Amino acid sequence: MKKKWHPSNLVELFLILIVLATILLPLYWTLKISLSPDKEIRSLPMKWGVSQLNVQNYKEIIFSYAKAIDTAYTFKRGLGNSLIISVATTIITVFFGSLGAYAITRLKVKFGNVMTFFVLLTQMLPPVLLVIPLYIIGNKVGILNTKTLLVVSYIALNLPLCIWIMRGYFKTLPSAIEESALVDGCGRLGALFRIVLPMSGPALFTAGLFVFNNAWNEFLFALVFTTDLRAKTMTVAMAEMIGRFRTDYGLMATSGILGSILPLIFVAFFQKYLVSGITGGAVKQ
Amino acid sequence: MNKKPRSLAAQDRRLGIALLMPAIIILCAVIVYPMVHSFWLSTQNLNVSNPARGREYVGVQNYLEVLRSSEWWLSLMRTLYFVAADLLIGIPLGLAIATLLNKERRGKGLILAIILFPYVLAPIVNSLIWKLIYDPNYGFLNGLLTQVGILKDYVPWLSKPSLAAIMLIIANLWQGTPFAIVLFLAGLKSIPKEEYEAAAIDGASKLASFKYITIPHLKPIIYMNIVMKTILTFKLFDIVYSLTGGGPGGSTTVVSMLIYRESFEYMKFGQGAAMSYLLLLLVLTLVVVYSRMFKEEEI
Repeated sequence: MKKKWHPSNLVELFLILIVLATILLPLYWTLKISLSPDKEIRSLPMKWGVSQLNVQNYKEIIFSYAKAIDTAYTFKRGLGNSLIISVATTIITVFFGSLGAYAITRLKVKFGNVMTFFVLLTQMLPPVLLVIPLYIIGNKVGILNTKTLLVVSYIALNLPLCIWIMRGYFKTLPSAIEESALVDGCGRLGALFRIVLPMSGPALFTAGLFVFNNAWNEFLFALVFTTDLRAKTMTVAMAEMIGRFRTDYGLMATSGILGSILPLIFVAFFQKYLVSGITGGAVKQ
Repeated sequence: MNKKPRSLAAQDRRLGIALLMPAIIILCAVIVYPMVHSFWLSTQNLNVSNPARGREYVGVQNYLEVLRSSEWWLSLMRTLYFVAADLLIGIPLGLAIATLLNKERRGKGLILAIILFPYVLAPIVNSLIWKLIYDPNYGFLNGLLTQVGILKDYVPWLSKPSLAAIMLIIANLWQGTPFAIVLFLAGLKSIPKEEYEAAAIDGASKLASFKYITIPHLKPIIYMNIVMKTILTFKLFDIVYSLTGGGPGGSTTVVSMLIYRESFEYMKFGQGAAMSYLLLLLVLTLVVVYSRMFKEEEI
């Protein structure tokens, strides 16, 4: 094994840099626009840097308040709604998902295949197939344009995946520990809550990460089900900005950055869990 | 402890069903029931233009109307164009980048984190990013290409029918390829190193060992990628809706865009439901065909 510099090493390094640049430049450009003074966004020729950092756009969104029609305020409320919806979805999905996964792996309920079927089904279904009837029902029941309808929908869309992840993990836990707890007079539920779940931290976290990110990023359901600030999510507010004929690019770029902070934190700090979630599902299929 | 073990198993079972109940109820309410409802809708004429007439059962008429409309077939062809590009470019690209990264290096964790950036972003954020890049006057792409000297005049990337689809495909690949890279990296890691060493001793070239060792080992991952990419691209909606709205001149109206418009702009729920079922059928067929293809090759 040689450890010397080889020309082929240089080529590899160059190729890796190209890959990284392709990924980072679009992100850099968005960040740059969000921090540019308004005049510089619409000036030619194109500049790579910023002559003067301008955080006005960030201030405008963060300190916005209710006005008749205000893009910045709509987006700020959208961020809040998305946060509430995603947190609620994550907690409920992971809770019911763990219960279900435990039932399938340890309590002899022959439901594993049905759940596998649901994992595939929720992947393959054109979402519109569910959106149309849920819209009609939501309209009848009067829960259109509420966070509740979105939370319930997202729970259903993510439950199969969550059960799948938890089931894979429960299978690797030795059942001997649980059995000794059962002998000690701890019921099944006691064993689940006091022994199994506390031991399942990494899996609970992985499942939660995926569910949260899916809910945070979802667009179609939110687009159809929500109409105003009560329930409109961050993605819908953003799409409105993108679609507008005359858009304030600085504000739009800023909203993109603000809406991406959480997902980017997930990658930066919890990369391992993301990768295990992606490949875990793949290896088992 | 005076209960018989048999009744303990029965107890376990009862508890198990109770624990699964919430999941079952939610899945029935939000997935199973709506699927049935959608199917029922697809057999109804809702008479949107004349609500006084109410709805009437029309059997397969909605399906026939969809199959007879040129719009359906055109949008299907456009979708297939997207799928083909994603499979033929996205998968080899993912494999190539994974091969490039499959080496112990300093900063490997950081590189992987950067590669994952696009994967975790919302598709709407993806649109937003590329809207800023493709802007005809102040966008990054025109600026870059003129500075390098490739372009003389600025190109309106998203308003030319011949270009818009390609631009969407690029944006879609930017977001979709990291998933393939991560899968391929995991696959490459699982190949035993001894096989490469043995091949090298036998004098096999790098290309040969790639062809005869790497590719056969990666077959399940390639299959997985093809299935996932096909499914996801047939559902492609967010970036089309927000970047081009299906235009210019309908050149990017993919199937899910068409279904959305029929259902929520023209309120033709029956037609929309029929189209959704046709789409589901098509995707299912493709997945079955893929799995047959891959199984046969193995024998």
